[in-house]
Amino acid sequence: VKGPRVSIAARLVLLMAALAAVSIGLALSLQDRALRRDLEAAATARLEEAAAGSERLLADSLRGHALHYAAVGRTPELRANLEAGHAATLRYFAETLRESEGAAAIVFAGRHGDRAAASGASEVAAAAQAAFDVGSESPACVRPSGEAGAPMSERFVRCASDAPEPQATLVPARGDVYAVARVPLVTRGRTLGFLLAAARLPETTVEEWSRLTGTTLAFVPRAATSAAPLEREVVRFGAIELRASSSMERERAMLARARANLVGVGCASLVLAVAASALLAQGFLRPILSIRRAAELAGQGELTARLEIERNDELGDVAASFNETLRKLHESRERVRVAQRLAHFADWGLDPRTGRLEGSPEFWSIVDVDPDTPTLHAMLARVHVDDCAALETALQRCGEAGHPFRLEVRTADAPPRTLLVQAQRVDVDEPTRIEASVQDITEQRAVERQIRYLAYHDSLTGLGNRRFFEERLAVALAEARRRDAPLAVLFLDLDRFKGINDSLGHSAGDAILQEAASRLLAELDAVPRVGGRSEPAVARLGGDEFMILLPAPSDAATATAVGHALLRRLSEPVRVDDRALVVTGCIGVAICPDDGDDVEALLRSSDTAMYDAKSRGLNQLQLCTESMTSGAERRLHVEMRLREAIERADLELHYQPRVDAQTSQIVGFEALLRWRDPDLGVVSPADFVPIAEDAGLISALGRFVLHKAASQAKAWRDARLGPAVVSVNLSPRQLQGNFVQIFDEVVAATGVDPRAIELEVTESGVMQDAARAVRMLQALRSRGARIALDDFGTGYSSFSTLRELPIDTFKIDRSFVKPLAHDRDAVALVAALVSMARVLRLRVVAEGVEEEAQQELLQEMGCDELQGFLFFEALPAAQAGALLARRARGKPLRRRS
Amino acid sequence: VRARLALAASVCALATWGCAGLGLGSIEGEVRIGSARASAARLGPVVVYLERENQPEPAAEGTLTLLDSGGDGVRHDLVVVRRGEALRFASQTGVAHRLFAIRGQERIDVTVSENEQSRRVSMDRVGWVRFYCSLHQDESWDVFVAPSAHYARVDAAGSYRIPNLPPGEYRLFIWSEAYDGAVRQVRVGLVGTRQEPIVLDPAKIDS
Repeated sequence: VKGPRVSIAARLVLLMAALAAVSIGLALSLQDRALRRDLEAAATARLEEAAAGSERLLADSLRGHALHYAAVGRTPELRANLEAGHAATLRYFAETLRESEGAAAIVFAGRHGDRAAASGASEVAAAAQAAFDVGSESPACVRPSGEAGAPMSERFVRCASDAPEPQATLVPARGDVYAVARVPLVTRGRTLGFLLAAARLPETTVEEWSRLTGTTLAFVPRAATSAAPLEREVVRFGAIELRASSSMERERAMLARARANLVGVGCASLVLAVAASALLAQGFLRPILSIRRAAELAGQGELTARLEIERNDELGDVAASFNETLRKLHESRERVRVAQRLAHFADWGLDPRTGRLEGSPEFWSIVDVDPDTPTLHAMLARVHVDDCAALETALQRCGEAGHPFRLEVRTADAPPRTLLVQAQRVDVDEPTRIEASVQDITEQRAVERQIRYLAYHDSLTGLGNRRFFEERLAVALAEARRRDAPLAVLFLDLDRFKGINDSLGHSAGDAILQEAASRLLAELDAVPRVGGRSEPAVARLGGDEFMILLPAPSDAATATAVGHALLRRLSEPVRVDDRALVVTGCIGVAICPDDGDDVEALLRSSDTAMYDAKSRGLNQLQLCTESMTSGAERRLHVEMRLREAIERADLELHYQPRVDAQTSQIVGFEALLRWRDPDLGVVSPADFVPIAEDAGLISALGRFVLHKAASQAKAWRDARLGPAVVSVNLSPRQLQGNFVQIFDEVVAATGVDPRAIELEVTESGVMQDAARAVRMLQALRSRGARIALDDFGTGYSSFSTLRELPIDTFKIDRSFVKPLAHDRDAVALVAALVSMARVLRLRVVAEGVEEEAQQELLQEMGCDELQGFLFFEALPAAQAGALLARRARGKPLRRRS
Repeated sequence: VRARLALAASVCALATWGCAGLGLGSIEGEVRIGSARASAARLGPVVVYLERENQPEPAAEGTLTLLDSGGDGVRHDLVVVRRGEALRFASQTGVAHRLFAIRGQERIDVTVSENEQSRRVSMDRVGWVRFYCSLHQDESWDVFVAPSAHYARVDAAGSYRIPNLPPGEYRLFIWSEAYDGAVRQVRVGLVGTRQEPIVLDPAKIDS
């Protein structure tokens, strides 16, 4: 709970005044106590000194009294008469002496105290004589000789009756105090008797002593009241004592004056302290007020203001820190402002009670509201009429129930912009506020739509893409199942489109694709919507492949009719670059549920049907049949098993020997892949190699074969079974890949001499990308591998291209060898081929030699090597190795019988 | 021969002993206070003297001159004179003295001028007399008047000896300032020395 507002200056002044008052009061109190204690100590000390002085005065007085009568006692007449016991004479002397000395009484006594003569007041004489006859209680006395006695103080001892020296003491008598001297009368060291003289002590003497000592001295009876705090007993004489007393009046007066002075100084100090604290507070507050003003400006958003306090103290540090904070806040706010402007983002707040808005500068720009009318109503007026109620309701629920929300609203602009509004209630302060943000996501939404469009459409033709088609097909399948009606999927592939691309360029190809898409859309628009059929869909899968969906109900007849209509429309001439081109296509049709009831199956079935149509020629349409489906399924099964076989290395190589045409000695082997699957049985390479090529397994398969053949060649060479060369067939797909790298890795892994490897490529495979193939073959040849051209003469390659190929051997296909024995044209053709190889300095290998007549002709033609069942069939590695071993031992090789 | 020689020696010895001590005895002894030896020194000057019973000694004649020996404060030693002798005081220091003594009811005044002698003062009474000087407070002269010549002063060891005493009965006296009185009867023979120790009662010592 806040109390009443009290400024820091007032607090500081009050605090300083209180501190000063307490300090001064405490100092005054301590000083007063110390002063009073000192004054009391001084008074006590003064009293002690006065008592000592009084004792000294009294002692001196008594000593003088004793010395005086000691001198008298030396009178020979006195001693002689006392010695002779002449009482009358002594009495005379006593009378005379009392009168002459002004004594109160004179007594002569014998050696044992017996009175010999006396004069004066008998009471005084008796008291004087009795003062020296008491025992331990004898009064104090002074002995002028200073001889040791029983000391009572520094100057007084107790009276003694047998003291051989003068003594003096005080005795009370008749209400007065008398100084009594007792003087022994001695001759030749022998005490003859005593002279006692008593003289009254005048009051003026005591007064004079009081004046000299500064105290009040008085003889009081011994039984009087005990000494007061400022009273001291000076000397005790039997029944009386001399008492010194002092008063504190003078000290009290001094104390009062000192207190007055201290209070005056304290008041002056208090005033000075208050004045100093006021000045200090003023100097302290000025910078604080400056900081407060700057803070208020900062609170109002003015962050460019800076404090100008040049102080080298903590306030200066605070000002510097404050300025630095303002600077950082300013920079931060500017960064936020720039960031919000760049992000089309703004923060804003709403007071639910008043509907008043607050927001960053970007806010007013985004919502297009005048900052001078910062109301919710103004903001809602700028919202699209369809979204206004939703926003108002969300804000109301947020303000009342605290439900945060995230809402996209449109503006009332034309075209409308999209704003993302997020808000939540903040209950930290009272009243509660709604803190919110708004972001203009118009561009973001447009980009998202574009992305979505690109994700589902082909940018070239504007048709849907595969994803689009698959989703539409899935929806159509669900509808077909619900309606229990068939639907149709058409797979369209343009005929010879690659040739168009290669010959006329890609721009022409793109134009044809766009035209084809346009025609397909136009034709499909013309398809009647019978039976509540949905709109057909068309998509481009890539390249020259299109998919058409005919939703249910669409049976085979409908699909066939639509497909033919599409083919007709496509076959109309197309003008590209002022040329009239005729583009045809083949369509495969799959019907759901006959050819598949899911997306993948229908696509596969239609694809199969399309390939079947392709196999039938140009501009064909083919419905999918059950056999197509089963063939496709087997193909898929083979692919799966082949993949597993490659992973498990279940494939093996057989080696068919190549023999020298003249000597029939084995000079090499051709590695032939054999695959025996537990389910499929023996699968021919002619069956699974195309599948491997289509399935992308050819690279792995090729690596396996090369590694296996290289390892075997290395093993044979290590076994010194001769420099047999092992040839390995390469797929055209391998020529398109990274086979050189694979070759290097295999050579490195197996350690085989590259010269022991011969790579066989097909003429058609090389010709697919002759330039690339030539570079790859050159690289392989440079590493030592030998290159053989397989199946030469079956393709369309030109001799000029053949001349440029980096090959060492070419093999005459078995199709040329087979008719040699009975076809003269074949003989001429093979002879020409051999001659051509001779011209090109290539080795010639004839394949498929199965008859001796063929052997003889080929030998005559000059073939270098022969290969075929006439000599050896393909053998497992062990048998091939055994053949090499027999050859190495010089034994004749056994030919195939 | 031997008998004759022994007889001659005996006769000679007897003759010698008879001649030497015929009619003169002596007494001697030690003065003690109680049983303490050499304790008589506490008494100050002490005189031991004898008086014959019922046979007073004739007064002596003669004058003894006493010389002053200094100024103020002079204490002169005790002087012992026989009854009948006179005293004369002389100033040899150039200082005058006015002496007086009180003896019973008798007062003796003697003036001694500078470098002069006083009058002759006859000492007829046995006993102790003290002369004071009224000019010098500490000056005094002590004189003891013995009844006869048979007296002796006790030495520092407390011993005395009174020789040449005719045989007879005597009273033995002792005097000091602290003790004055008879001691005992003493019989003195023809010859020999009697031992007469004097033991004083401490209680009777006037200290």
